[in-house]
Amino acid sequence: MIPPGLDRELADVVGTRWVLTRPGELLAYTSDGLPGYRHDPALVVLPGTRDEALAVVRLLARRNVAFVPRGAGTGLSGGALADGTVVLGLNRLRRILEIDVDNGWAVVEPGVVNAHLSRAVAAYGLHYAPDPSSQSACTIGGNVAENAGGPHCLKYGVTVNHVLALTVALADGSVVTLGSTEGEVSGYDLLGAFVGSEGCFGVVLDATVRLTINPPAVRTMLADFPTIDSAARATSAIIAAGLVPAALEMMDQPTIQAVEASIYAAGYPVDAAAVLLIELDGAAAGLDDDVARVAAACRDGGARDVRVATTEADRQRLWQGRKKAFGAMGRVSSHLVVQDAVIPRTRLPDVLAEIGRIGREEGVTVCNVFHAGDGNLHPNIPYNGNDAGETQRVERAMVRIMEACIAAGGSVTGEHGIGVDKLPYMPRLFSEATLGSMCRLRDCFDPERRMNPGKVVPVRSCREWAMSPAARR
Amino acid sequence: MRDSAGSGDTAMTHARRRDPILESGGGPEVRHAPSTEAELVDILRESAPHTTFRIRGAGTWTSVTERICADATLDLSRLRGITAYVPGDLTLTARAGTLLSEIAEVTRANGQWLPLDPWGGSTGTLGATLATASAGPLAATIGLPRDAALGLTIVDAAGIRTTAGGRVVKNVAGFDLVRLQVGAWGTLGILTEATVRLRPLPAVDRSCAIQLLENAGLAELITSLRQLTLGPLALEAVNSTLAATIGLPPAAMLLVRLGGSPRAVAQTLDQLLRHPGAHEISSSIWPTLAATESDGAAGVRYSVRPSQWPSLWTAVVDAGDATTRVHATPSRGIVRVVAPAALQDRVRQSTVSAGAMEIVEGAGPGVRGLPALRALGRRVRDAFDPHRRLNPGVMDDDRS
Ligand SMILES: Cc1cc2nc3c(=O)[nH]c(=O)nc-3n(C[C@H](O)[C@H](O)[C@H](O)COP(=O)(O)OP(=O)(O)OC[C@H]3O[C@@H](n4cnc5c(N)ncnc54)[C@H](O)[C@@H]3O)c2cc1C
Ligand SMILES: Cc1cc2nc3c(=O)[nH]c(=O)nc-3n(C[C@H](O)[C@H](O)[C@H](O)COP(=O)(O)OP(=O)(O)OC[C@H]3O[C@@H](n4cnc5c(N)ncnc54)[C@H](O)[C@@H]3O)c2cc1C
Repeated sequence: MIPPGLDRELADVVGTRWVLTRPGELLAYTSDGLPGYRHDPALVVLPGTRDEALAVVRLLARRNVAFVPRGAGTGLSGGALADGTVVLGLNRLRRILEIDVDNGWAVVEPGVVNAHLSRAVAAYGLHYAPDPSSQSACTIGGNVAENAGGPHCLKYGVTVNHVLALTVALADGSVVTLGSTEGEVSGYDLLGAFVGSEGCFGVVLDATVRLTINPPAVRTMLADFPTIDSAARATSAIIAAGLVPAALEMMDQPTIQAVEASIYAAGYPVDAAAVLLIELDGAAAGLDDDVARVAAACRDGGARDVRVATTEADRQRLWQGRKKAFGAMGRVSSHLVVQDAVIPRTRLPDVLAEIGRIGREEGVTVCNVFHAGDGNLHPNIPYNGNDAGETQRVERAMVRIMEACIAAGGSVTGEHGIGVDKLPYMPRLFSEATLGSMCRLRDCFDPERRMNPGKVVPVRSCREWAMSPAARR
Repeated sequence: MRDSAGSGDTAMTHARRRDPILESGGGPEVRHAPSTEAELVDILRESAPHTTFRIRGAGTWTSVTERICADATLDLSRLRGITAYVPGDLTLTARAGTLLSEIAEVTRANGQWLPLDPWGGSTGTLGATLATASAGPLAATIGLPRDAALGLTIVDAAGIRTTAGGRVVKNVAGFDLVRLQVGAWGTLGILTEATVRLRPLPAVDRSCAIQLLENAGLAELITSLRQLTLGPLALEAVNSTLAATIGLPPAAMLLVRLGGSPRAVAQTLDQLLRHPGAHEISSSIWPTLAATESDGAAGVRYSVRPSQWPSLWTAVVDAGDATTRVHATPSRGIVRVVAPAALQDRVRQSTVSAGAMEIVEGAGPGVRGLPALRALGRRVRDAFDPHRRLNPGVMDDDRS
């Protein structure tokens, strides 16, 4: 599929060592965090500087070759896979170019690992707020492309709320700066449109991201519930009381048991039907009043126990269990489907009940661990992928769960993106005309659709749109 | 162009029959005032492909729409009403022509608000506020219109209805058409309905004013405010003319708005009142400040990186005269000047040395920036409104 000699031309730009073509070398790039999908790339090119990255993009433009940008490959929607085309790996570009403490921002290369940025600015009393559970591995470039979220996004917002400017290489090799650090820009919000474009609009060459001042005080609490329903209702009660926690996470019993059986054991009550992990932060004055109000809302909702972490180590332990929950589940069985859907928060009790029913009917164990405050569900199913019957039941359960979320007025992804995994749901969420608008926007950035082809919007929709002159009037 | 004696039972003829105000509304062109989205779709589909339209909400910012030269006006003020409000979800859906004041009233009854406080006050429509991305002091801490908008319904230039986003607070399904449309000034489609994210109203809402002593020590003041235990809801500097206009002593001041739990607010206010020249003021100053806009006065925003705003502020205040109203949002690096065009030229000269970027409000800012960005902006406009039917002349890069 790729022109002969391309590997040598790329090697001239980045050095032979950084062009991978042998099957053994390519293996690591055949899937991302969602191992259910495997695509074989033709080759992988790993530039070491922004200039090299840009030169590669230009070479690929000249040779008319499709390519897929890739960060750490932790994506959970099969978004960073290249089918017979080129993977442009950006994780060698991991320099922090500038930290501007006065203005509260940093300029970073796309391959900088999320958690490394927070570590680098900790000495200034700052951190980078979006904190996906994969933050110890995923890159800022990947976060921008997926508009990643995380537990603290309930209060602090998702990636797009923290990106001030991006330098981007378009597929044709031109470079644009979207957004600005010098205050406002006029024109369309192309920065906003770019964030979350899943590698289809351009390659992030550097990102200027906002740094957030560490809150003066933090309280982390764990509430233990005898039923999932009571935990879901308590979630709504907390929000309805006018409180905006920094994070409000829920884990159900199968998740708790998986965590407690792993090296990430956090001391969660293994007999609880569900726990809420709640964090409040802000000014010390008044914070304990809020803690009391949250605790009261939980107890009124039927919580058996509410405890507040007393030491930083205690707090870290509570979070560790949550952040490593996917990993803990992965140890329970050979395969794991990780899902991502969003529903209106008030629908949590009935949708969780429906998920429970679907799990029972299909005979699979659904582990729910999710951002309850945002209504962002992660129904995950550990299973034995070598058992064809079980695999089929898992797939059926997942489709039914996603349909239940759509029926509740929700969406099929709150943070993991569409990639290839969620493509089939797109026509259920959006009309042909709306999908056509998405294609038109993509075509403004990459008219040849050479970047991450076949992802996000079903190709059929784009084609139909393009063929209809009436629609283009 | 569609003529006013056009046949049939159309939205336009209805509007004309029912609403004498619309008839006397002036302008040589045809006025359509659809009261449903379907009527709007019909108007666009039935008109000739090259008919151009001026979009209008409540028309409170007429200086903007008057610059547009079009065959017909699409008046969206009848396309109004809240269609869904689930307080437990903190989301509300309303038609584009719904007034911000109406939304404020309904949400306040549930202890919630839509924290958009555009200049001009709450007499404008939700659709226009999102279409123009109009923002006020709250944007510095609570967010911009693009952050408040969760979902949109859009009728495009060809009369095709599309949607963007949804009704949930977090959503990354597909490319982000919400952010594309917010701030597009109607040039990529007409907003007909929007779902917005609400917030709980702060338990208490108190404010204070700190006098800016001869523009000195601005940077230090802002730095010291960063150490406050409770981050302010809004921080806005006003020059002496504007201070006097809103009923304060005529001196340059920094207005600070605090919201949150009573104890945290009281403690932070105590800290603030220790500054020389500080005194508590009523939080009703904020709507008063927003409503001081007078239509026709030219607003120009200048922006620099936040750490450089003190010198920009000083330059702009010094360049103005006794009639110039200047205010600034330090954390966004924005200084805004409301003054007649003649004076704006003088201000402009003073900001050049400060290295500021300039946005002329209401002119329908063009797509500026380096050539690659301009080309991208042009491609977007071409893709969504190739014949420039909607708000022609706005957002085109040959204007600046
Ligand atoms: C255990 C685990 C927990 C997770 N928890 C969360 C969570 O809490 N919240 C959340 O949002 N996600 C979570 N994720 C998903 C994943 O970590 C995020 O989607 C992350 O943003 C992907 O970053 P990455 O660097 O690994 O990108 P990749 O997987 O390499 O790529 C993801 C997408 O970004 C594009 N891309 C990558 N780099 C660039 C670039 N420089 N320019 C343009 N496009 C680019 C790719 O083409 C692809 O479409 C989790 C994943 C795992 C495995
Ligand atoms: C005197 C005055 C001055 C102002 N100055 C500023 C300022 O300088 N900066 C600022 O940020 N805000 C400013 N505003 C903000 C203004 O308050 C908001 O944009 C507002 O809510 C306008 O509402 P409206 O319905 O009256 O808009 P209109 O005056 O009816 O329309 C404003 C603009 O929005 C477009 N529009 C309206 N409805 C739609 C729709 N449904 N879909 C697509 N496009 C639409 C119109 O074509 C027009 O360009 C000013 C307001 C006033 C009253």
